[in-house]
Amino acid sequence: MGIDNVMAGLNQKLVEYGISGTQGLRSAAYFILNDTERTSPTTPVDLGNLRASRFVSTISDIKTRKQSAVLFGFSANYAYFVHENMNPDVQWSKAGSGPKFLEASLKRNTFKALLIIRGKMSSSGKLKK
Amino acid sequence: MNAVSEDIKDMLEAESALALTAGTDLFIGKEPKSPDNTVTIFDTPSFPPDLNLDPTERYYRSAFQIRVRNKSYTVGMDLARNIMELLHGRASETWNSALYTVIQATGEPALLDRDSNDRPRIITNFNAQRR
Repeated sequence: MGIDNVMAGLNQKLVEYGISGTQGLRSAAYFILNDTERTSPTTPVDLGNLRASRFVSTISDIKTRKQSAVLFGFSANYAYFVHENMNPDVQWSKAGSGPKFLEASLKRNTFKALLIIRGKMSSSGKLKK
Repeated sequence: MNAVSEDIKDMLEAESALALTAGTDLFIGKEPKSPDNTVTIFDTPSFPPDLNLDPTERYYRSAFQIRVRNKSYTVGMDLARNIMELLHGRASETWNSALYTVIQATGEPALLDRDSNDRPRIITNFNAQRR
């Protein structure tokens, strides 16, 4: 019976962590996307459609809310081509922009993203420092 | 320490099964218009290096992309997969004085596009840890 109580409490905590973790994940995703506008290589701009196609979406199990994840990136159908085009002959129209803009931001900000998630969980009282 | 593309070029050239020759069908930094069938290695944005007090103990987490261009999609995809299988999981090897503790593909080969001459271009991205 004891283990059942412990598991029930742990599962409840996992549910709570999942909820607050989603907030942290979304904040981290926004931070990573915003940094593609601040730090080179930034998002290439022609007409602005690619930059405007940024999105953050939450995926979670609605029934149990024990697991959550965020899906984020650029939804323009040519985003992959721009992102992976390492051709040095391309004259990117915006100074400082170039390929791998999202990958670079992700790699640059991995630790910051973890701090953001941790901070959100701490501020909501779901994680003890 | 060399650019990671330089060391990877040497690794691929040393693989007799791939039969690649630098300057002929194996390039770094820029994909030439000819020949039709080429393998090009690009240095790409990477994770930050370690901040160890002792710089000799510092690990670098370099990243690179390998782009295969071939007149045949199937042949190009097979070559890209062979290269991925040869590099993915490679560990504890020294190339040009750099110790490569591990190389990892971040995905499987994928079609990037077809160039202006309708030749398919297939890319695979990798991360490496070295010092």
